Amino acid sequence: MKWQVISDQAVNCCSWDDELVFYNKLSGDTHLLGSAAAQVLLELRQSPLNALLLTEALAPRLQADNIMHEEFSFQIEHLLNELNTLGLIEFS
Amino acid sequence: MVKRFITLYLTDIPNVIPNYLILQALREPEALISLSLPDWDLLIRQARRANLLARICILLDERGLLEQVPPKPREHLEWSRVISERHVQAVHWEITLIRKALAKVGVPVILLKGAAYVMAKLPPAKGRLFSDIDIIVPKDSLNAVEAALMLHGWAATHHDAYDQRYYRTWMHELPPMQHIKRMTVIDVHHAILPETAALHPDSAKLLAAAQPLDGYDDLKVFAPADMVLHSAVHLFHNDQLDQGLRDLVDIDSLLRHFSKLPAFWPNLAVRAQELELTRPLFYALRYAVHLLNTPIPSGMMEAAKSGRPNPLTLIFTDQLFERALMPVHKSCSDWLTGAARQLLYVRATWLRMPPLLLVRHLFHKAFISPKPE
Amino acid sequence: MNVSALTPSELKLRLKKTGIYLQTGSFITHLKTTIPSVAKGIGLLYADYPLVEQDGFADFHISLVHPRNLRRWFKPQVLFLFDGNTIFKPLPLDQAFPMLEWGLNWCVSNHVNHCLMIHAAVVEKGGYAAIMPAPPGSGKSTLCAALVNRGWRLLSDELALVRVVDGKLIPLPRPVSLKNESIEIIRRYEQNAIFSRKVADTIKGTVAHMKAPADSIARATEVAQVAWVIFPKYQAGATTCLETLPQSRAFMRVADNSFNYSLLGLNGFKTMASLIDASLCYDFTYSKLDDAIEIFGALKPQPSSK
Repeated sequence: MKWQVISDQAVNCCSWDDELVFYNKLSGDTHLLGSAAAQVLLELRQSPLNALLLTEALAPRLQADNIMHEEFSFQIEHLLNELNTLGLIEFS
Repeated sequence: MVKRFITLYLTDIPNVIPNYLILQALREPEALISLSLPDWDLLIRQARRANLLARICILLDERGLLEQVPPKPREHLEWSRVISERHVQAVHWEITLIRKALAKVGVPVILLKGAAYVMAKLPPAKGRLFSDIDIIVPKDSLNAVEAALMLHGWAATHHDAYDQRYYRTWMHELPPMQHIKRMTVIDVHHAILPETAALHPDSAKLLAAAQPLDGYDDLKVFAPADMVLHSAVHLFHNDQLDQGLRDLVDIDSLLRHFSKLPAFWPNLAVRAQELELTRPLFYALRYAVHLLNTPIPSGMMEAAKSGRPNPLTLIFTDQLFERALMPVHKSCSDWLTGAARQLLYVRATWLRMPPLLLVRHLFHKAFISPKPE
Repeated sequence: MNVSALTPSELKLRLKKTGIYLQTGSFITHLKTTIPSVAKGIGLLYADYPLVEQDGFADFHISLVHPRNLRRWFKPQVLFLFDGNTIFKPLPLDQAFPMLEWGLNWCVSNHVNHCLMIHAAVVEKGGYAAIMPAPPGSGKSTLCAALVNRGWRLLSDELALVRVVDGKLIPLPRPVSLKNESIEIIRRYEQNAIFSRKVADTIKGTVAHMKAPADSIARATEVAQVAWVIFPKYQAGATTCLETLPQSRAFMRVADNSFNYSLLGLNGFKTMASLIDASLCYDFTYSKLDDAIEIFGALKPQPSSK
């Protein structure tokens, strides 16, 4: 079971600086993704990953010095859930 | 007036079939390309009021004629098409969410009317705008469906105790439920007519004949004949006729589409008998032919006569419906139009409820319901 | 033929009998009314607008009438009808002309879908346009009125129309709506500006409309290229401050101020994305109009735009 970007959903997005504006073709909603969420999405767009591997891939870039690994992976889990709720990614 | 009634009685068809631009456009979209600008002006106003502007745009586009419409009116047609395209997207999404919400209830969801036309890609869906998603489920799973929807963010809209009781005791549906975030509305039915109505089409028969929707294992739509009959019931038992022409267009469009099915017409006649819906079917066919020139086999027209009211009633209803089915626009009205709409409101309410209840309901509506300013 | 070709009594009679076909920007409005204050407002603020009677086609059919109720005898009201239908609640008769203006905005913002419509003022100079989206009370119209009296062309003070096919801005120059203190501020700022009569106690306070500059009306068919998206904010006593806004944030804020962004679906997203891409985006705080004009005068477009 891996997280992946729902097909067709990766097409309609624009990035400025480190943020992403995303048009959800299914719901017709537009979402502004902060840099962390944007990184998660871009990472998953390259290849589907489970939460563990994703966390490992993103840690060098996103994990702040002063937070524990558990806390960071909790943040990533949280972002994944958010993106799932928005209908941008799925777990399959 | 007397003379006109006599003529009507003798010839059995109304002597004045309205020939408004909107009807011409629906009957023969090809002819629109020769319209003058002032005619376009009027047609667009009639179509907008009838909620049929996007449909006319699509009818022209399918025939490759949109480019021949003068730029100004074409712009109006295209503006409305934008709305209808977004509408289709929104309906798909809403149904995705309804399916998610009801996944655990374990009953197939049968889509009705607009939602069914869109999801089954039937021709009445073209350019059709509607505000609510209608579904029908077996009566004994109503509570489970309601609970599941509430769990997923839909809430009852009618908080007034009278309204709640009115729906739950007498109606064929739950009080409309609205999603608290998206503000979308779902109507959950267990029958196609109120429990109080004189006609009692058997919901079990309708549900049993429902057909799975291509590509979905949890969605169904009514069988073709039932879909037409429901559309007819909806139109001729509805107290709101402001969408009347649009509803008649649904019927016309379904009939033209299903007539390609081998046994459609005989089925329709038989099914109308089985479901006790011969009267609404008679009216549906009659006005579809009169107003929209729907091609209907003569055998079917003959069979439908079993649902025909007595000649005097028919003269009267012809006068009423042929006015009230027109768009609410001054160019489609005469001095009787307002009265016709009023009478049909009372008629529809009458058909849905026994007289004593009707008095109570009208009384309540008139004196107790808070009115919007 | 322009409205000014009719004498006041001819205009009044025509508004009453057949109505006029008034061209504003690319739209034609068929307007009928018997209300004298409306005829007067049209004669004053729409003098330079073309009348187009020959085609027999109008985008919008509107009329301002007296509602048929008892109140007409002691507290007269006005009703805005869109093709015979009531759109808004009736207002006191005194507010008939502002109601026409609001009604005309309603007509456009509720129908026109070949454009992304943003609740914003739009001004242009030297081929580059600034879109100023803002909620009411931000001083958008005041700033817009000042700019168009100092050499900027008025495209609109309420509705930015961004054409979906090519992202160009379509002008809809109409009177600029000013309220409360802004009316006197602009009157003092530009002595020659023409104003409609002040109307007190409307839902927006006291309002008056300023006539659009003649040059802007004459150039109503000339589309413009966007270069800046600026969110103005009037703040008494504040130093003028132009602050760069991240484009992603600007995207979401402009979308929030749009009438039909969501309705346009993917086209809305694409149009907005190219609009934001082509624009430098700013938050702009100001208190003195002269300073604001100076800052606007120094604006430079993105090197790549056009």
